[in-house]
Amino acid sequence: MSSPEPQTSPLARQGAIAAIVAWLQDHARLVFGLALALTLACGFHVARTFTISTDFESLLSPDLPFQRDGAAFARAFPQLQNNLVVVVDGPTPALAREGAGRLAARLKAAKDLFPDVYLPESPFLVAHGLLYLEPAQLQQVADQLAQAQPLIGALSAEPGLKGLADLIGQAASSEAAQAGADMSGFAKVLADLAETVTATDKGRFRPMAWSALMQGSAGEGGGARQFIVTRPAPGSDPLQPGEPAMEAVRKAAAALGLDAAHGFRVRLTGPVALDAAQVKAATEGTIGAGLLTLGLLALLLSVGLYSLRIAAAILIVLAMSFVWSASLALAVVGPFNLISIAFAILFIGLGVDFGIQFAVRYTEDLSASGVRRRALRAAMFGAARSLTLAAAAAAISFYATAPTHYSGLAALGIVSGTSMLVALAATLIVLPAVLAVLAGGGRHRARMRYGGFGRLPLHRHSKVIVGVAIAAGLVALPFALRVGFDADPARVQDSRAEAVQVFDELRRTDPASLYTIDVLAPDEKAAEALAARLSRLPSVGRALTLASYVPEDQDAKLRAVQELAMVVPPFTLATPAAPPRDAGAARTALADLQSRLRAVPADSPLGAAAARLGAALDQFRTHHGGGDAAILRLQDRMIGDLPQTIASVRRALGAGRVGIDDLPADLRARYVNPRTGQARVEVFAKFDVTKPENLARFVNEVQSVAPHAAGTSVTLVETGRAVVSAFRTSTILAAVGIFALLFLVLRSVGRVLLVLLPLSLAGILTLASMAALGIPFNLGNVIVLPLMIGLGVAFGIYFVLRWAEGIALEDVLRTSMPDAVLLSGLATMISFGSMALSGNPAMALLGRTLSIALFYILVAVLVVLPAVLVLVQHRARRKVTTSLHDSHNSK
Amino acid sequence: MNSAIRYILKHLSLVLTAAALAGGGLVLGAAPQPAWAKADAAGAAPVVEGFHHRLLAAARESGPANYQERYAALDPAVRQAFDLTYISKAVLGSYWDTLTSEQRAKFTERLAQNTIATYAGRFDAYSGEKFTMVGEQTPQPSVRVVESDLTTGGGEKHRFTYVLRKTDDGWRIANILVDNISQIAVQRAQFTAILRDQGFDRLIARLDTLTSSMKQAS
Repeated sequence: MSSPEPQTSPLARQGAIAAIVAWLQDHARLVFGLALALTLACGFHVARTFTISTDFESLLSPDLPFQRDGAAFARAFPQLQNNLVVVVDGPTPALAREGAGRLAARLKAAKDLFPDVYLPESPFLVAHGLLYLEPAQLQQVADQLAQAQPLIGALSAEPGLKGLADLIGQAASSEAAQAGADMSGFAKVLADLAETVTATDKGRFRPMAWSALMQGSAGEGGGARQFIVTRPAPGSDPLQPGEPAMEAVRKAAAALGLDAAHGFRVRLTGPVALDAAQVKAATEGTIGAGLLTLGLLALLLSVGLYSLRIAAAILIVLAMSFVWSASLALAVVGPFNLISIAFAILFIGLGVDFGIQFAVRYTEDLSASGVRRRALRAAMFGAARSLTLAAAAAAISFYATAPTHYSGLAALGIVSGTSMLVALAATLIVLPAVLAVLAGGGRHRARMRYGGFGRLPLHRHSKVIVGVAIAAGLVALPFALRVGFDADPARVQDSRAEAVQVFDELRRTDPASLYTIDVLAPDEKAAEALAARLSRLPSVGRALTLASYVPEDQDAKLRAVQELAMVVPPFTLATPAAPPRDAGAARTALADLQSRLRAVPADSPLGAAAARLGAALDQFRTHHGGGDAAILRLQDRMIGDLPQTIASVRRALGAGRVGIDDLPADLRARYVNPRTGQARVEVFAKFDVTKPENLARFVNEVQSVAPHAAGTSVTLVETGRAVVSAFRTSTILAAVGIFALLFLVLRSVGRVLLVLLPLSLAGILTLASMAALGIPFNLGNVIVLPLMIGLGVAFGIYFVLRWAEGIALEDVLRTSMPDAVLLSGLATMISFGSMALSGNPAMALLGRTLSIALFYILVAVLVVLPAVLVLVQHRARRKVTTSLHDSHNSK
Repeated sequence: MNSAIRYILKHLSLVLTAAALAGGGLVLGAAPQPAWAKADAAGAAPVVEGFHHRLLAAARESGPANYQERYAALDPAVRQAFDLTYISKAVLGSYWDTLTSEQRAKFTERLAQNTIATYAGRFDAYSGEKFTMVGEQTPQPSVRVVESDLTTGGGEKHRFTYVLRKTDDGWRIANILVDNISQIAVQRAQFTAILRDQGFDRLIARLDTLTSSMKQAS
């Protein structure tokens, strides 16, 4: 076999290295001091300038067509961007609506902080609600209201417990007269009242939800939620721009009594709150996780290197170079983004590896010679070339992302690529100095036992191993090609954050309203024409324009409403005054109600419910006696949201004709730009768009009609496409670049292929395992790809370079190098594999993906590659023998 | 909820009809200046006052046992004062559209008979009841609301609120609310359930039963 041609003569190189090492050892304190000073300066710089831009859309090049379309839409409708969405869950539908209205009014008053506050279920739409129903629905509601009229009419004339007692008493007592009637509905009213009484008895807040009963069973539960969409002015802290607004909403809600004690839950979501949660997860969690990782790393390194000091030296240098890299990144690339912040993962993964490779060589020689100066020189001789090559290869693979349209990834590539060079410089210049400072000069004999891999029976089984590896690769290949990419940022969010929980809840209940498409049309006419075409697409549920808010068939509907107003005259629905605060009267009414309930025969259809309500009232009176406050509170809870319900029915019955010019200005401005006249078509999907294939189909169909469509769905799908194409481009570039670099150094295609073999095998197996486990790539774990390339190539280089130096494979395995590779792989696995246990599912997914990748890399490098080398070596020896024989013969 | 309210209404209707129309006999108090006599086409209140007058007059002038006589007297009074076709349509709501024109006419006629019978049966004696006009409102141009109080002999008060609509023949009563309870709503709950569950013929049969029970009750 031939040995590689060194570019400079080995002697000259060794002389230069020896001189450098000698100088570093002589000036170790100076170098350490300078490094420390640089670290302090850089640390100060980082602390001053560190920001993460969480804008999902800025991760991609603004020059991409869909990004331009999105920007054009955002210019026309700025109020739809960067929203903070307040989700108000109230105890009953009517109270939720009232509470949201009060909160919205309060936020509107804070104009500086909330320039735009929008209540989707505005009083206008509620008042005209009957006109927005389909004719059949309207008829149904009309029937319901007509049927409810005696109830609400009686109660609005006589609010309070007395009205309730009379009503229930009359209904219950006449029930006996008409045996056999369907009593289930009225039984439900009584049962619901019993619930309220019991809850009040136990001190829980559960007012009677008359509005939910009035809406019919469909409205129960889900009906008590309201939204307020705001666009807050950004605060001064660039890391948490939404914080002042979010704090203001929480304070306003508390001041208005929209709290748990009143049956309310006010939560925040929408881009602003989600971004805040992202930043919080990215910054807060990292400190604790970082410390834990550091501790585990220190432990592993101390055990693996047989020395606490050496482990400390590696970690100190790692920390210093990390700060330098971060500072350099901020100075050159600017703020981090959600992708480029992951450079920390790549940096630590490869930085630790460089340190370990160097330190293991150092320890190896130290244990042999016992002389520190000598050991340091030997480590430098042994590691400088392979580390430089590994760092260069990793840098190439990272820099390969720079020319892509995925600017988030490109930034990561530039930052990480540069940080590789920083890590290399730190390992080769500062680490020797730190080792010299920490360990001093002198003699030392380390107790170390490396080279255990030499005892593995690789020789005897090399054919089997290679055969299994090839078979596994072939079987895995089709699976590997199946791994998808899921560009939805919802997948990488910390699901413990409130904003994310609310978002997920909404995603489950109403995905169509979260994953919409917006199309910008030059004017209203064009928008309406476009909406008509779009709504005919099979995957489109609805396509809304401003005109969609003008009810159809108004003549017929208004006639129906007017007829209804004859049956249920709105003037009979006077909002009752608050129930009389006369505890004595309430007590009498309560006693009356109890005796009427007792009169209901137990075997009648109403018997059970009446008994329940009666028992609940008895309990209440036993526990609370006849105390005035308790009686009045009970009355309040039983009346519940009746006043609000009656008021909204009355308003609905007064509905008049709605023309396009009658629509409220804030609604109008969400569909037509008042200055330019540009109009928006809001497109809703028909199918479940949380499924990626449905989302892609929805976007494709809409784009076929409206190529310049924007909006969440388009962004998600196009981002996925752009990311996949960016990874394809950068992978090809990285492959070509690394191949060229290795060929330049190794001068042999065969050796280059040997270096790349473990990476290729590990890559295929990792992707196949992900496909089999149903783990797609997403914006979080996609970072595993460059790390895998970096480490895979580096490990391959270490092995092949040693082997190519002319050392027999058996001896390569007996050196410290395989141990260093294993230690390095384990260190990375510990650093990030621990994330698999994280409560944050995105982090956990990243940790799992990384663990899978590292496992395969280690197997490929430590088991498969040596087995391949054994076979290659045998062949080469045979060749050499044959050629010697031939030449001998020819002589 | 539907059936809850339906149930309440079904049973309230009996109770309320009885309570509101004051089971005892009624005689008109000294009615000053019967404005209804002018039959002013532009006024809604006179229609109500006229009906009250004829109602109490029929109760006062016929003997308690003379149901047929009261029925005959009230027949034209009810048909003149009430917009019976409109009421029938409103009572049946969406079911109205499902009926043939013969069925509609039949239902309208039986409902008219039931209304007359109810008044003839309830207002069968006098014990000092009187109607007092409270006021008139115009919630919409084509709608008038006339309020009056019925004071029973025992001094109990009930608010009768008449909703009138303008027809080609002048103002006609389209609905009555007794103590805020809409009679059309009550009847709708009562009748549409029968129509839906048992069919048109059973509805007519039910109306007829109710009508004849008024005769027997008196």
